[in-house]
Amino acid sequence: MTVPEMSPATVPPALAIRGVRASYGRIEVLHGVDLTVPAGSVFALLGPNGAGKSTLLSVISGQMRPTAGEVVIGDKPVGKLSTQKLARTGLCSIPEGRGIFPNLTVRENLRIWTYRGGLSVKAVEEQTYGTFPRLAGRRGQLAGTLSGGEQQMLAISRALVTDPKVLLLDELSMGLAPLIVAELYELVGTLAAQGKTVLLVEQFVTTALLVATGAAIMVHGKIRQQGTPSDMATAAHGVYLSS
Amino acid sequence: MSPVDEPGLASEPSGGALPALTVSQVSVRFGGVSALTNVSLVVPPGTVTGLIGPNGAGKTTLFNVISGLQEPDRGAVHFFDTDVTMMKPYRRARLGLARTFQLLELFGTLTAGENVQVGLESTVKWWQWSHLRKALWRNSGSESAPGDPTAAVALVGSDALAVATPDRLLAEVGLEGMANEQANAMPTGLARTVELARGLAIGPKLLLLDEPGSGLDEAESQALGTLLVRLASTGMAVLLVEHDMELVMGICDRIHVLDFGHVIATGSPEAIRSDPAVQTAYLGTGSPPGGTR
Amino acid sequence: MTSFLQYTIFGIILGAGFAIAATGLVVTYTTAGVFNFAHGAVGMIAAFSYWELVANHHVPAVLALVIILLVGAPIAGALVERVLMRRLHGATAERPIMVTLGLLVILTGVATIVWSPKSQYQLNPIVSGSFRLVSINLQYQQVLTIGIAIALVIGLRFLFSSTRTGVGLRAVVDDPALLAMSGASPDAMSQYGWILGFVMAALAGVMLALTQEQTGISIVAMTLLVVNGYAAAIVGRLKNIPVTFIAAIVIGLLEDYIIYYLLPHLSQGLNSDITLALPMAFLFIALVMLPSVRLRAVGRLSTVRVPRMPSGKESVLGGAAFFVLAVIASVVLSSVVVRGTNLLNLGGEIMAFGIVGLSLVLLTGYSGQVSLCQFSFMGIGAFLMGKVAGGGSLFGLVAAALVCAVLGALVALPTLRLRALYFALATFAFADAVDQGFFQDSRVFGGGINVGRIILPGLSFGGNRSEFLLLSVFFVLVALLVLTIRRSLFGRRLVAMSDSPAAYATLGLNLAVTKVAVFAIAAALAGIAGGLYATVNGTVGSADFDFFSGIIFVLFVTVWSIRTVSGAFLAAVTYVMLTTFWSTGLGLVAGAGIILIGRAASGILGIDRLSTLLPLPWVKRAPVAGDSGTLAGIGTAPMEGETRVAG
Repeated sequence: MTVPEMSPATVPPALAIRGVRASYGRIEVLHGVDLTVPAGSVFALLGPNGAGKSTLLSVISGQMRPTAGEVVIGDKPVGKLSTQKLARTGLCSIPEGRGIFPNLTVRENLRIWTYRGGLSVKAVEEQTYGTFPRLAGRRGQLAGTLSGGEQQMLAISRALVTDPKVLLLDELSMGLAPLIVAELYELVGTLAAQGKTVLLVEQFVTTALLVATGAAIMVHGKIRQQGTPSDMATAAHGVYLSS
Repeated sequence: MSPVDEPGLASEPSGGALPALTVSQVSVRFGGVSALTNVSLVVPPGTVTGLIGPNGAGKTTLFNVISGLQEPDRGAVHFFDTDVTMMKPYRRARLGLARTFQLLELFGTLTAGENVQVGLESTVKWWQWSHLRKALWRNSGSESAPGDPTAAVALVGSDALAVATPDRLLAEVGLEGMANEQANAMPTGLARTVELARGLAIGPKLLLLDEPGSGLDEAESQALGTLLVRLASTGMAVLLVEHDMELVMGICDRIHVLDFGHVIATGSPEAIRSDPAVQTAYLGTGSPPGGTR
Repeated sequence: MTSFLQYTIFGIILGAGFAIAATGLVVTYTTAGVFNFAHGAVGMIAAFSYWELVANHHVPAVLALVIILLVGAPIAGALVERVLMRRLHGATAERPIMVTLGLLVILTGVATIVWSPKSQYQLNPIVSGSFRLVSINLQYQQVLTIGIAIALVIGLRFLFSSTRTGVGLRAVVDDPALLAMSGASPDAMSQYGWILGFVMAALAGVMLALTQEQTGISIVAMTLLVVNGYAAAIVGRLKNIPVTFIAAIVIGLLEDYIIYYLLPHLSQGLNSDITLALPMAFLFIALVMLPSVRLRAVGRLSTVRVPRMPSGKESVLGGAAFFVLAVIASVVLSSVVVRGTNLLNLGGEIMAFGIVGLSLVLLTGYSGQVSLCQFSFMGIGAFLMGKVAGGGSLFGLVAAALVCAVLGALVALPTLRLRALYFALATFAFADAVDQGFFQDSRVFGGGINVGRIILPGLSFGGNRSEFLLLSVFFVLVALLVLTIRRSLFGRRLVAMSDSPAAYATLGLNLAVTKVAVFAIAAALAGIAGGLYATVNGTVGSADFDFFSGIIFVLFVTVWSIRTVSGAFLAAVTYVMLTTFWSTGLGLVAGAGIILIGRAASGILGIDRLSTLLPLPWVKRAPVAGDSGTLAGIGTAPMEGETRVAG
């Protein structure tokens, strides 16, 4: 299938995925994925459960090695880099539902964020509490005892303070009230406006497409369609509630 | 906004028969996260009831509360007229409550047949000598199981004298001739079906199915639907968590929609499909979840 | 009153030593998620190295301590992490238990080669001299021990909550993947963790050794001394350092009070050194008081390939073939004497240990419960065989089976609700308490009790050949019984219980009843094995059922294959041959075997590719759906203790 080019060739892609295949044991779940995310865009990857979206994010973040194909960030192929090296070169990956250490306090979580970014804990705390005042009152609390929204704020604060080039977000809105989701996505928009490239995986089409500048639908380990957010909204409806 | 059933014991299903399962005002919190808030629902015997909702809505937690793997912070669970809220899981199962798991919980180093057989024999006392005697000479898994798993017998067919065996039960769910496969070497879809057969083997009155259709192709999924409808026709109550909308809409008599740990809608498939709150839950827009209640 | 004050202060000093040991254990558990059974052995090696440097090579005490803590222990810790522990990520709960036990027996094995196991070694304190406090003479060394313990609690608290590395060390157990995504190296973190744990174990070893200035130290006593810390660490739930510290002090005090106040009144009734059994008694009590493990669906599918079960026909034929081979062996070996040992008698011993191995196949292989106390039941069986009906009677065998079954049920009842690690620790504590408190009592085995050969009406087993054949028959019968159980409904339940406790319970099956039942049956089999063993040489002593030997035997069965009859038999052959001909190498071989099979849960008999065998760091293991991967990526195998909030 020919993928409609969304951005002029003058904007180099921040993230390119070429022919990526990946499998768990003998079972292949990604059957050759091609995706190009232009720099500075918020790109939404949509699709039903089990389509392979999270697997693709695992491949990009270096946790899983593809059996074929390559991942390029900026102009460097990063297939051989370990997860922590990727993190240090400017990839911030926030995994689904567990972007925090539940048995560490809020402040201790923030201390972990200082591994990348070269900031002091103080600076990280200031920046985080400035954006999310609710976390300031809970700095001594175990992160696992925070509300779902607060946990996700803490998780995304890593993207806020480590100044990544590329940000991967997996199911940011899962289990969260819409008001909080809106707040989080507003922040995602701000981050993108600062020039960061965002790839987000979402099952909630409408929510994701509010901030997205580009989108693709993934079904059965392949990209089925790629296009503008509004095109994808229509297409997604068919994929999700088909009957 | 859709009409929502009045929660609690008062909401008898049509016909006034005693529901197989009544969940009343159940709440569960994990740390600071509210997994379920005042959830109430009923599952009448002889029906397939659907439970749908986006990821993280609390469906699996509700299953854990019903089967006894999770104690609720508040609320009650009744199995017919027995209060099982604080009952141990194995006692609930002996009353006739069976379940499958979203993340498989097969007995991986046993064969598919043995998995089913453990279910079939669940009421047999292990110290009875006859079982040891049989095992002295036979192959594992090839003996016919005693006990009286009525539902399983009913399932096996019109032959009233039919004895449920692992082979026959597996054949019934479409796994003919797979009894000797080691369970952890089977593809996910088939493994899920083995779990279903194992659950059926205890002769349940209530069957909780957590995404039995994931990993199945279209034809297998259709066969599953037919099987579930047939089970319900024997009087069994089936509570089905499933993401495959075609399957859910096609076979459920009634559907509950869970979102953020709240039941946001209850009704027939047609009503649910056209319910704006449900569309919101699945596709996501700006309205807060409490607004639908 | 003076004496009370004195005992209290000595108790606190002892407790401070335990506290150093216990906090070290907590550190390893916090930073690596592994309970290090070898913690005591590391401390023992450090204490003996200290002796070697100071007493033998006249190195100044402080310099010796610096060498041990800043050079020796860190290198050893880093090496152990790199070669042994890194391969365990994602393995089942029993693998770290077996690997650290392997390390324990290797280190004690090395120590017995380098230093004399029988001798007591006198240590020079780091600081000498003493002063008087009120009316008590205190040594500076004792004050140093308390000071170090307090400094450690404060220092570790600071490290773990207020430094980035300390927080990172805790984070790596929680979620190594997320730590990597945050830009830190999980591998480096767990290496730091092991280095810190080893340094603390070494420190505890030296400090505790120095509290024993009157008696000196020996290898076994030293290893067990550090074990005193285990109970305190359990009270602190393996994570709370201040609670662990307080528990250690309380245990030190209790031990001192019991020794000085209670024991003098009991000494007429006790001929063993009961003080050695105290730490294990405390450990057992601490474990029993732990909360139950919560039953939950983890979505982990064991992907271990299991050996095909032989059918009833095959096993009976196999048993018959085995017996024919035994008859041939009895003819061939009847007059062979190697180094003063009749090989037929060794054959008899092999059959007896083979039956203990079979009890482990049933208990650990099928139902997944790690037991380290099968030798205790064996010893009790041997004792009853010697005492009941004049020795050598079938009634003795029956008594052995019954008493052991009841005892087994009593051990299992309070502990079966615990998770795998704590259950294994409870059997560890029970095994040592039985050894120290009962077997070592001079009135139990004394210099060895005489047990006659079994006499049946019209049959005599006085000859070595008939005795060997009798034991072979017993081995075959027990093997058939175990295989039959596996093929029966009960066996299916054992495997099912081990594969998925959550599914087991939701099918209407009672986990508690099954666990107690299988533990009792396995205990009875071990008791029978002990009774038969006693008849082989006509005499048995406490050394035959020594605590460490029991652990080594479990390791041998694991190395060969804990799921098969052949594994049990080969383990018995290896064990008996080594004990007879190269007993110094016993622990070394067992430990090396465990390390070699790495995370291959099926043992040598279950290995089908060589790469699983090689622990060499540069051999990359292909992710095989053969030992601990998951099928179709259904959830990544969560480590024990990881919480998963299901939605």
